Amino acid sequence: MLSRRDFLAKGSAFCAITIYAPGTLGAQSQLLTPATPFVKEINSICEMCSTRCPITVESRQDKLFIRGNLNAKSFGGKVCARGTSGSKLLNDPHRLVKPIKRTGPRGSGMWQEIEWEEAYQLIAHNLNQVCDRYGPEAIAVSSKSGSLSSHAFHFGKVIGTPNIFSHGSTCPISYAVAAKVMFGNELKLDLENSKYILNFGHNLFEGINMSMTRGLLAAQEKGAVKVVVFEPRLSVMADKADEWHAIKPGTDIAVVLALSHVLIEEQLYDKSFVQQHVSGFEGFATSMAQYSPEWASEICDVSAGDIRRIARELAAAAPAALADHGHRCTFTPEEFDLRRGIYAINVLLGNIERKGGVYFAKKSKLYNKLAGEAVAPSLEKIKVDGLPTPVLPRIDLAEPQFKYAARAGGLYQSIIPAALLQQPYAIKAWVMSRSNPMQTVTDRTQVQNALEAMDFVVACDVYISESAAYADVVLPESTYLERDEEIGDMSSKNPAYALRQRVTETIGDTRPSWQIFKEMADAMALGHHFPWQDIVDYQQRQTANNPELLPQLRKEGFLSFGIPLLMREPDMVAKFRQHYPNAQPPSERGDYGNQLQFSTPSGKIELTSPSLEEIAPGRSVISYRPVTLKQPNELYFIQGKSALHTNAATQNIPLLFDLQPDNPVWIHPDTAAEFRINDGDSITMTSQVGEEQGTAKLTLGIRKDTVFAHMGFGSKNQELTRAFGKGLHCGALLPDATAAITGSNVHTTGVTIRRA
Amino acid sequence: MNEKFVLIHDENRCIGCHACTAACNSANELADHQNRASIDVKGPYLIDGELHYRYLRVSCEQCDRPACIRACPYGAISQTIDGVVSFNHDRCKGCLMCVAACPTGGCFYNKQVKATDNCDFCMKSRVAEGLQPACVTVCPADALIFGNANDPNSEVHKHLSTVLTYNRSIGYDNKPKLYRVASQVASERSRV
Ligand code: SF4
Ligand code: SF4
Ligand code: SF4
Ligand code: SF4
Repeated sequence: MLSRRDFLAKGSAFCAITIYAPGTLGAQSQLLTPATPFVKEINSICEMCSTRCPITVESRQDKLFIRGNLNAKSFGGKVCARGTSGSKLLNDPHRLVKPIKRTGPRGSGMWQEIEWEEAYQLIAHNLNQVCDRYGPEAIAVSSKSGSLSSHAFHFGKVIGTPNIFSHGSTCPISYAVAAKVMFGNELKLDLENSKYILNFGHNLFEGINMSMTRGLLAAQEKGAVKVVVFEPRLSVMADKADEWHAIKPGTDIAVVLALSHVLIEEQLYDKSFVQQHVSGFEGFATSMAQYSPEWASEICDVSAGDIRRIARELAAAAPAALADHGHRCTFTPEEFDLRRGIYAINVLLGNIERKGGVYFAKKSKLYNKLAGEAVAPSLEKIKVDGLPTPVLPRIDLAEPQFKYAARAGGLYQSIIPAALLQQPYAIKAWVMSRSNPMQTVTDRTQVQNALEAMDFVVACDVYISESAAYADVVLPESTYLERDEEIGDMSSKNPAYALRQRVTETIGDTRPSWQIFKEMADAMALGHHFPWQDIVDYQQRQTANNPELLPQLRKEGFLSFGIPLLMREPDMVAKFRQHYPNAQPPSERGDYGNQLQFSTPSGKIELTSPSLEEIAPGRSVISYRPVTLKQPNELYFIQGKSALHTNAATQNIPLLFDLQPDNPVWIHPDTAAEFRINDGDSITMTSQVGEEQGTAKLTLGIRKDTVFAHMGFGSKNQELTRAFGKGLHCGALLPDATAAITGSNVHTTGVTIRRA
Repeated sequence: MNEKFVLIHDENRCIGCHACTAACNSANELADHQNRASIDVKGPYLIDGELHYRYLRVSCEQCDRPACIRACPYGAISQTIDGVVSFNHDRCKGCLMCVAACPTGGCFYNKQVKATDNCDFCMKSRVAEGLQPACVTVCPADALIFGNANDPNSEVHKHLSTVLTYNRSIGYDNKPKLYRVASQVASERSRV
């Protein structure tokens, strides 16, 4: 059996010509190999993407094998290729294991290893300087979402800046904002029990989200579901569907509105549900009256007959029918009404809190209230008093229409004009945690300019990412396999919690992000705002009222409490009441429909939203607005997720790199013939903001007017030695465009192609 | 009763996600760029006017009549009583006669152990510990089923007797123990 030492030694021997950047694992004079105690199994949480599947890490001597945690039933004990490759990240000689500071110009790749203390002093000195000169508002803090973001965001609050951003606006923010406006809360999908599923390019079989992917598979396995996919290319999702409609990019909204049109016109919607729970139906219905299937088919290339038939089939399957709200999904600047329109279909089907429909997460607060007793433990919210109040509003609130988006994680891309044009005011420093805007924010050149314009940039990451390469100081974060974290809420139909815990000793001189941000605050003499000693203290504060929860979670990794509950399912409510004798009495229908609450201004589902009118005139009613996504001589350029990589984070990980090193461009053979392009040819793709080299992949599985590539490739920084220059950089081709209200970065544009 | 271990790959369920490839790599300590199994997503093919992919598992077929064994001059490849073909890394001299003889490309030179190697149904790693093979353990789509076909209560036995399976035809009567369920998606799709 190979020890980790041998493994690393052999691993680096294969890459003998590689010169490792200072601070990386490969550059350490002697490889750092801690003695891993023999442990059979530790339960934790994956972090190779944002789904956070509960995992079980089997450890044989010093070798790790990662599989799914069987306690988390909906995840089935399964992991995807990324999830099971976690040990490759852990042992990658390219990962950063020592703090480094920049010694040459930004992006030059000139670094020097430093000690943590020096790094903290440098950061404290520079951030204090920016604060003194421009105020704390001039510091932006951004992080990918997930448990680790809470410490970075708390750091932002402690220094007093309002400018705190999640990656949301570059990925899932649209549906979150639409749900907030309409329902006051986000919704989950009960795919497993559905009889009819509409899918607008949410590729659950490649952009894997384990419990949703498995829910969909389970429904298909039962054979009782019909899945209809609208997507410009033949994704695996489209392949496995019952029907695939190769819709014109960015026009899904036309189908969505026409479906509502038919449901209303033919009186196929759930009238009693609408009457009881919906406000603004009349305004919505009036607006929908103009969107006939015939009108839609002109716009989107789906036949009017199909739209009408699908609407009828949906209604026949209701309420066990749903329209999936999608994920990383900004197809059009009209994203807000597209996602609202999708939710509107669900409302018309009356599938809220029904089997096979959509539902709200049953966190312990609501669940215990319904049960009439504390059947599920609750986590304490850790409050820190006396945090400074920012003087200026957030930079993305200059336009009031982004009020909801600002609350949902903000407009990440607004850092760019703030840095370059001081609009609405200057951002001079940037603290990034596990975030890679050079890949995920559109118009890479401007992102680079913004980073170059900063007085000071700190990045905290496991690699010198494309963005970290432009930082002044890069702090090496421990990988998820080496760190403990706070308890996370993973409630679905019943309350559930999960815990990430370290499964192996830390390699090199890395630290977990909770510690990094606490110590950064210490260095700035703000440490008193991080009152917990360490993460165990933090966990104990979370479980102050349920001390037995923590040891249980340490053992099981994932715990769920109670029985599944959908509030408008009489069976489930009856079972729930049998289980909990003190449970709330049901409504006369035998369900908890009367307990449904929506935290919207009207307290109901808002199919039209009068309050939106104040912040965005003309936007209260869902409507169609024409958009131009490409010029007549151009092709649509769309992107998507791969099952082997997570956005912009995993391209350099050994094995995953090997399994998918780049992103060939999908082109229809007829289109390729027009440009004399053969399969495998090098091509040049040009948009209004950039030009990129790629490889052509000829396939019938795409529209003739569209080209496709997986996102996250074509890194332009040498530090990512494997991924450097492999494939085409999508962000370098996408112009900066922001969707109304949701604030998301638009991902569809026009390009021209030619043989390179 | 003899055991007969077989692996079934259900192309209907497979989503081409390569979790199997990655899990095998990490469980069997292969180099980052070497794999015992892979999934070839082929196509799309036009079937009945509709486009479809085919998900083909590419790995050692675990022949009952293995060409590799006959080709090896050093007796480095053996077949156990339960039918599993596995490579003895200590005996292998790296002459690659097996690689030349194998009709499927199912064996390869493993740089990590400096000998030829194949998918051995995880017999020397996880199955020896009473676990399922690594690929089967993680497959998100439950597309892989492993077990003893001679055990009437096993899932593989039930599957082989109720679901139509096929073996890849590889030119001679090698009798693979890797079974496949062909994709039904085209015929199951509702006519539009
Ligand atoms: S989907 Fe894959 S990468 Fe994402 S959390 Fe689950 S196992 Fe990890
Ligand atoms: S893990 Fe399963 S679904 Fe994924 S490619 Fe392998 S066999 Fe197919
Ligand atoms: S597929 Fe090739 S390596 Fe595997 S048993 Fe048959 S001949 Fe041997
Ligand atoms: S059975 Fe084992 S050796 Fe064969 S592909 Fe699966 S994991 Fe690899």
